[in-house]
Amino acid sequence: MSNFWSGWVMALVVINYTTILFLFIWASRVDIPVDDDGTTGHTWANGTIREGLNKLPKWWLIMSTLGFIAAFIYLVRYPGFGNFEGVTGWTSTKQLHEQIIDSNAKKQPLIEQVQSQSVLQLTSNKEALKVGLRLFEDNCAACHGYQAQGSQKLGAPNLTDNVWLYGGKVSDVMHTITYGRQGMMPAHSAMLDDSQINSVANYVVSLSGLAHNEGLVDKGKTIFAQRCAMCHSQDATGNPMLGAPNLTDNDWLYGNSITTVKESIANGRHGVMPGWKDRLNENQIKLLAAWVLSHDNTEQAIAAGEK
Amino acid sequence: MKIPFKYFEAIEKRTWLLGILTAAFLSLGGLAEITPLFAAANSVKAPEGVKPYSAERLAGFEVYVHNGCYLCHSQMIRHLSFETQRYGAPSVAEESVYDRPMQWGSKRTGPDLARVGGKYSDDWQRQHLIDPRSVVHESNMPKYGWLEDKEVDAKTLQNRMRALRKLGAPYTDEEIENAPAKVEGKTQMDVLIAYLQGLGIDNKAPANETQDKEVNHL
Repeated sequence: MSNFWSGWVMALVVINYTTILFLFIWASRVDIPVDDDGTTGHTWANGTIREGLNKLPKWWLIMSTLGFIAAFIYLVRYPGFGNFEGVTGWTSTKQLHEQIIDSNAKKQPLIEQVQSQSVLQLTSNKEALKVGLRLFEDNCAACHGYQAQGSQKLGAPNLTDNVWLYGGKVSDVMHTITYGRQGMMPAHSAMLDDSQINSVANYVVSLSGLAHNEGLVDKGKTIFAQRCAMCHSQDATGNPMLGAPNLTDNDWLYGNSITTVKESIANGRHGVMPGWKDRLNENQIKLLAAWVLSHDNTEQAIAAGEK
Repeated sequence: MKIPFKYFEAIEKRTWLLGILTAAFLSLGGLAEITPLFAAANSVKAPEGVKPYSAERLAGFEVYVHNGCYLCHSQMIRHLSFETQRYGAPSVAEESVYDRPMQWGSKRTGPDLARVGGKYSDDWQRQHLIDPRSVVHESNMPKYGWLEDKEVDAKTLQNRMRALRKLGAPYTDEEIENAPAKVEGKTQMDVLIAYLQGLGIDNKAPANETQDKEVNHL
């Protein structure tokens, strides 16, 4: 605030405060003349209503006095009197900073555990998982669901099974959370006609042992080898480097009906997992990874020798 | 000390004088609290790197205001640690310098949206607007699926950009010229998602970068 506006506020505050204080005292000392009957002589309704002269109620006087005192203390302690910062130097930014220091001090023992333990160790740390759950609910549950069971509407994977699109090692999971993932199944409607897409879809669901049209499988397999195997690999077990799902495990990102599979082939799929590095810090990401991996799904991590 | 009645009577018996003095004293608070803000409002400048809304996002902003999203969603993260833990760095005035009208809001039935950009994928935003309960079971947000059937009005968009330019948003002639092309074939749903996905990213004040480190804790 410029000096002019600061002075403006100060002047108005002083005028306001002193005038009201003056009126408060002055009005209580005015000698109002009264008639013999103790009224002011003002009458209404032909004399049935007469104006008496009563003292102000005591509670009102006390509350007003306290109001003056509180206002004065406030202006001395807190910002309000123009550019005067108040003797406490309070600002909302400082208060926030103190709150954060306080709250971090309380969590310090846990923060130390998070920093010193590995993600796999944290998966059995109850205290850490509690915070992990809170972070998951706040940030991840909207897509992956509150039980982390995923959502086929969004193609958000179930995180509690042992099926991993981009790999289930701790380093993979950490990378996924930190940087996010961009699904890139291309659309094939320009390259394949409806009957070809139908054949491939039938072949794909047959791999998981679901109901299909046996007559289309061979044709579908041939097209699959030409068009799809590049990413999903020849045996259709997928490629975690590309996030190409395993098509033989009866685990479905978008649903297992032939219609849905045909849709995926024709229009492609571009599931997006946002990256969290700008929103969450390393400790938080570690806790999230630990919470996700606490669902009895550490097979790959343990197989890879992670501890 | 007794004060004579005549001064008291002089005011009490002249209603015009009583009226003028009452009005004068009632205005003191407003003069002290409101008038300096007119000057302060003009001193808030866009931070470096923050540009006015692109044509697409401006159209989305209009959809947001038009549908009263502000009635349930604020865009104002307060200086309180339980807010910064959930939503991110506290909001500063510079970040909403191009918002006309500003969308700070004072009611949160849904969460604050000041930094919601990038938190969810576009697909999630679309699914959530079509049917909020399909992704958040306990949500009480209305469905907005019909936004997919409504086209963006490119003509009003250009007028709006011209009006905003008069109010200080530095749009170039070229940007205004190209605005209809930028929203061509886009539905109100598309532009609303574009608007939401930039919140807290496109308008981020540099001062907040340093605050983030403090705020972003366990």
